Amino acid sequence: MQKVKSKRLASAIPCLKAWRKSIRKHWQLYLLLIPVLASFIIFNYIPMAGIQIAFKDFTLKDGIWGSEWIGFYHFERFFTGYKFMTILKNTLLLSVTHMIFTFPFPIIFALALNELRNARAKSMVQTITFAPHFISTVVIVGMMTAFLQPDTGIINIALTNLGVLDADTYVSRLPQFFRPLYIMSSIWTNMGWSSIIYISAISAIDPQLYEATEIDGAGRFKQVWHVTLPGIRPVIITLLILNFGSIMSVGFEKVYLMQTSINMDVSEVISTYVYERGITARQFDFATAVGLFNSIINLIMIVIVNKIAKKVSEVSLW
Amino acid sequence: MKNRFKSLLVLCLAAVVAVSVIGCNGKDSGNDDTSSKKASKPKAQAPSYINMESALPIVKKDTEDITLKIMIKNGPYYQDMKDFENDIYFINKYAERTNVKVEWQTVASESFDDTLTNSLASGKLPDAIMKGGISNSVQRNYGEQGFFLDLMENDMLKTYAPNYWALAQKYPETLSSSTMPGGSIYSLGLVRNSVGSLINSKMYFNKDWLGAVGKNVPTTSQEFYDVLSAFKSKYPNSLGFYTSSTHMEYSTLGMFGLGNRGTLNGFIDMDEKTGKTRYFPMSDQYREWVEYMSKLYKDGLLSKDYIGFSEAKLGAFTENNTVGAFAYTNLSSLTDKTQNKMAYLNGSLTGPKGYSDWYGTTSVGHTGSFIITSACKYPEVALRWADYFYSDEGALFFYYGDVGVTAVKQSDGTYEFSDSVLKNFRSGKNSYDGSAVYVSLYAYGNTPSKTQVPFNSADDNRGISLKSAYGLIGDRNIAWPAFTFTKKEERSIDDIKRDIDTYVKGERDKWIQGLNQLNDTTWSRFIRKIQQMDVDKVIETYDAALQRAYDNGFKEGKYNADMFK
Repeated sequence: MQKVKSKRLASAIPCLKAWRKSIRKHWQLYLLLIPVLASFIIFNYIPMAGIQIAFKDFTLKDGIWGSEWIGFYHFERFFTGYKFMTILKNTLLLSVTHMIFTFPFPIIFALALNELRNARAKSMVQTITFAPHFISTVVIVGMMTAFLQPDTGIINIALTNLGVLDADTYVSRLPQFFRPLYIMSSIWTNMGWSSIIYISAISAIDPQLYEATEIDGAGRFKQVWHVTLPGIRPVIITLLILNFGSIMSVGFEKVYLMQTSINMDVSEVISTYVYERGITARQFDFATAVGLFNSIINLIMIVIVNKIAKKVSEVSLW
Repeated sequence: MKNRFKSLLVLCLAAVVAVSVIGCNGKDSGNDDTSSKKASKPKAQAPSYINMESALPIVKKDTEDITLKIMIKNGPYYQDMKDFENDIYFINKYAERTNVKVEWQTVASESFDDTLTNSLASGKLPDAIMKGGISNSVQRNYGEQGFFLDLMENDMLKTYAPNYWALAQKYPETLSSSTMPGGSIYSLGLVRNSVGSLINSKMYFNKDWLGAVGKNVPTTSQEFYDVLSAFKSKYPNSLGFYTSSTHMEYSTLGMFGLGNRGTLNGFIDMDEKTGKTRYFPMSDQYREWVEYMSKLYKDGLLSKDYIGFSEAKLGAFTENNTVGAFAYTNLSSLTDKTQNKMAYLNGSLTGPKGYSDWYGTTSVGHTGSFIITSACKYPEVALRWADYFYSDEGALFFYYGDVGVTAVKQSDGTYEFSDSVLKNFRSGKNSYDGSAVYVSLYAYGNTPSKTQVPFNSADDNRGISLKSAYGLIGDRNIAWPAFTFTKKEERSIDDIKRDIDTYVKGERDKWIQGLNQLNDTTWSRFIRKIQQMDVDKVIETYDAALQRAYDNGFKEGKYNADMFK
């Protein structure tokens, strides 16, 4: 007994010693770390205790700890709702198609931008393209609706004159245009901003690699294919994994603003559904239950995709 | 390496333990406050400081120094005000006359729900909540938790709200619109005892356009079609009948016998054959209505943009003559000049099968305008404070201030604000309501008062709006008050009803706009889907609620103008 104990202590001590040494050497960095850790613990970990209301009948009077347990009532209510399958389908469909279509554009844009020789043109294009990121969702949906309005909207007038669209079509309201509009406006808004990380990754590629391929007779396109893309592959895969981790979290704002009575079949997603159900009587417990469900799915997705990424490439989150 | 992991693991475990220990100790301190405040219940005997002999003052002079903390919901006009308490005539004078001081907590309407929830959660409740427009469901929820006072306890309502009680004897729906299953009442509501305030949707036609096509204001569905048709031929660039989806229903469903008990219960009205409730979108009459409206849409007579309706657009379109016929709740978005160009619908339209109901009707009784919380130490005073506005002098004072100071009596017996109050309105610098807010708290409705003429200054009680209301009130069934439900009933049908309503509205718009075809197959599919969604449970629950309303004193009948004299 004595021997085992001392053995454990003996092995633990050098570890602690190394740590203490490290703290003494880099104490400024550890000090810098403390507020971050503290805010994480206070605002992210401690509130996790509130998740329990997903299984409770939450009342303001009894608070988080005093409310009664009701097991899976909220989950049942969510899953047996008549619309559950439609809403789940809408959420996943919107999320996956959104990812498929918005993911490549920042990459292509970064590659294209990299080809610009003129530094001033490059920075001007960059500034113009990432400005839309700062426009609020409400304004973007408002613009979209205004531009697509029959008789007065510029895009609508253009399309009608080209003969592509019937006059009097309220494009922004019809179900068949919901997903395309959602995705296209997303690309316009976020392409510039999302390309920043790729641009910086591209600039980190060793220029000698380009020279080497040039010597072997590669043209511009081959260079991009064989040097640039593989060079930013880790960044691409990492961002792809992270994207999968938010597959259930279709943003509430834009969908809610774009919903009309006639496109509900495709536009009603989990977040808007919960907003409606929870808003009148402030049903925090129900909203928490659905949020928990979303988070669990996201977690499962991210673990699976990470495993796949690990197997297929050497890049993974963990 | 292994040791590093071990120590890391130990640290993590320690952190988790620490967090859960801290979490366990973080009990809501707010709860203690609430439970001690629950001790404030209405007393069995009138407290000595209350003046029971006359209406004012409420608190006898030189007795207690009483202050009420009142949370009030306010709209945009009030936000421009620099000093709420001193700028409003009513507030100053009323504090003097009642001998009750008030600490006002003004909340913008957008953040009202959040502010209320935060107050309840933190235990820092006001003494009373005014103009909150709090639904029966929320009242029941918080009332049962003990946050709101039950006004029926110890006969508090009868003793300290004699004016409200008297109105309730005359109009039973005053109480049945806020009585919870079990008999509790948690609020005073706006009493709409005037013809003008009972019709919440009216139709108007541009007089010049009618003259130009040689037609009169329509009286039947066929005439309505013909007038719109004539407008379209004469003015091909006009937009057709302009309205919102809600007011489209309010003003036209009645022609097909739908919505015969008012708007407060959504798509539920009475099945005249059985005397029970029905979900009227399932009836054949609804199908006829949809076919009629889709014809209007197809022929360009119903505005293609009704889904995107806004008051601002209504004002603009009537102003620049692109709209000659519309239906809406009031004319306040139109300029004075344009208002005078409008002819009003003088009686409800008769449909092809002879029905002439008017869905856009509301009940005399409403709910949620004045709530006393468990934090109030002087509930009797608070109740008397609000009850004054239900008396004749009180209502006049609430809306107009003092005659001779802020208001003048007109030759026809009605009142109007004085010139000094309205000088900015007359010079075009401010709107009518924007000027009235310096006298009274009535703006944005939902006030704890009555709309009785001539004490009320609201839009509905004046001009052609009032004349139209008189025309449309004839032969109207008394509207059902908003029903109240138990927690169990709400849980059982809330989601279902919302899902069904969303589905119905979607199909309605798709049919009207010609995106889907309405025929026997699609109609029976529509009915089947609604049944699959468990509509029977909804109807059963509403039947029970209707029965409860009857038990609480609500009586069926017809409105007539004499009721409000």
